[in-house]
Amino acid sequence: MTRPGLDTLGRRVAEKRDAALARPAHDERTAALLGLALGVTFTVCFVTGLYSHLLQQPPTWIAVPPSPAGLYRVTQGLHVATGIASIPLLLAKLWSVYPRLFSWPPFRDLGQLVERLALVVLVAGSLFMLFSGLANVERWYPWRFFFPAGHYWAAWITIGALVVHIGAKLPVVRRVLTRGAPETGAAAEPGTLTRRGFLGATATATGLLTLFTVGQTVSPLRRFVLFAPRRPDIGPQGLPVNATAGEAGVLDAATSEEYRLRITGVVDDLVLTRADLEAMDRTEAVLPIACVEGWSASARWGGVPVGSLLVAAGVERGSAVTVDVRSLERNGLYGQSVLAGDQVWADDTLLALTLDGEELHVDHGYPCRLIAGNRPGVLQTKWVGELAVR
Amino acid sequence: MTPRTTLLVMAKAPVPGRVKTRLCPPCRPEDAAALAAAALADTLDVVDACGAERRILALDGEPGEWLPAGFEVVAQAGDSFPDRLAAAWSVVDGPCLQIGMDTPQITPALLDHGLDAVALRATAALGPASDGGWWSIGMRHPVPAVFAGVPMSTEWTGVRQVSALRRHGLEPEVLSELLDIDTFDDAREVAALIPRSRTAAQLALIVDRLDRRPSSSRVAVP
Repeated sequence: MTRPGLDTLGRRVAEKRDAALARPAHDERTAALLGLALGVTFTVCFVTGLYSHLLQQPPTWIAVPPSPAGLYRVTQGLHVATGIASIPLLLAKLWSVYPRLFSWPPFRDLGQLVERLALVVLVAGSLFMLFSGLANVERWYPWRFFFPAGHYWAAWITIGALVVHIGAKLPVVRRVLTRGAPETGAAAEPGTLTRRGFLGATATATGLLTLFTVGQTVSPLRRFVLFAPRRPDIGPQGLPVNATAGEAGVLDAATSEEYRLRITGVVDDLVLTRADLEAMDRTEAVLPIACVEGWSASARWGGVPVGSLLVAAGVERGSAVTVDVRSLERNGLYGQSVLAGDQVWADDTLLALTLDGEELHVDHGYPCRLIAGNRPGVLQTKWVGELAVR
Repeated sequence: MTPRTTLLVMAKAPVPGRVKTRLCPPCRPEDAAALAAAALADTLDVVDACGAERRILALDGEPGEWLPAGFEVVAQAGDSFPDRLAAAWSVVDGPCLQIGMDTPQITPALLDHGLDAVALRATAALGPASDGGWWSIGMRHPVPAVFAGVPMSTEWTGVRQVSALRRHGLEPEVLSELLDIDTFDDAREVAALIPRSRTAAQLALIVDRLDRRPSSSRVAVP
């Protein structure tokens, strides 16, 4: 192709672009409003995600308190809900701004180069975060990396690019959203969307998607759950399970006469049967199972406080110990969890034997499982075989 | 063939000030010793009536006329109670059930059930006490080391003892739970279970004296 041909093409693209940008659905005001909405959902999603990461990979200098017991249920419910709501918002935002991709020359100065490169990272990162998060909720893993690590590090990269983007666009947002700012774009042409129509459609899609999924956390909305992989009232004893005893390969060990709970470490080892646990003083606690995938459900658990077992083994009540809670499940990533600080001695940190007054179902962790407040479901270790005190 | 069984009793000679001191107050040391003597006599009567081939009294103190015939007496040895238990068990071979002197409400049938448990059904037996301790322990093949490191008289003693048995490869059969006499209220409760025993009679004398004490206390004592 000859040089004049390229120029003609460039001119025609520029005309198309400018015509599109003049429409209300593509103008700066629409983009700014969608950007604000995404700024809110991304921020909530990032903060709640960090909290979840903190609980699962606690640094040594911090022990997350076991109360309020339902806090993780709220934060993780918010994490998944804002993530899902971001999907229609992001698609609308990308559609609203895509004509701007065709600007020529691609950058005028170094600042703009940095801003546009950050945009590549932001768009790619956002798509990755929402896709990988959604796939994890659906328990679909079409990749080879370890989801929590990939999702976590990509979150930092994405949020960094978002900060750059907000910094670059803040003047535009201020200009177009200031009260009484002049209308920039033209009125909608016949047959095209008005700004109100476009934003209304986006808001409706976001609202309906939220309504059809958030019931996995908010029980009054349970009957509207359409897209979530789990209804939190379906499963043995009215509570869902992620991994059954069969899937975890512990069915035989968990139901064996030979089952023993061992309390080991800096104590006189205890070796107890389920019958021994049943004979001990038991308490009840109403605590949620709150899965990282967003579903949660509350239940009444009965069992022996972990603190009582430690005292029985000779640990002074309230002393600074850490407990590795080990499952009979040997191969899983979540075959072990850690209790530290106040989590160890909280009255409602239990080795649960019953669920809503019935003997615990083997898929829920029979002979006994850990249940404690403000804790991701994957850390509520099932089929506990050992408490190692250190 | 059923192996030869042994019933072992751990006891203290009922000397005032050395036994049942947790009954004082309200008891005087003499009252506590008299009640201990009654409980020991009731216990030894029941042991006499059970089916064990061999009866051993591991005694802390000197035997008195309260000792019935048919008992081998060995002196307790060791400083801590776990050491004394280990020493007493080291003279035993074959299936053995061991009790103390704080549960006079036992019956020959209860002891025979425990002896059968270790002779026929299980490698060990443990009778839990209501306070978290235990009133009886049995082993088919005695392992004196199972008592090492188990703290006595705590609410977790039973759990710790069961764990210690398991760590030595023994799996205890759990026997009936009994209340053992530790406090004065325990004594009243146990005596009510065995109203025609020496324990109940002795407790009645003590209660009678305690009830009369307000009037006698008006007498000036120089």
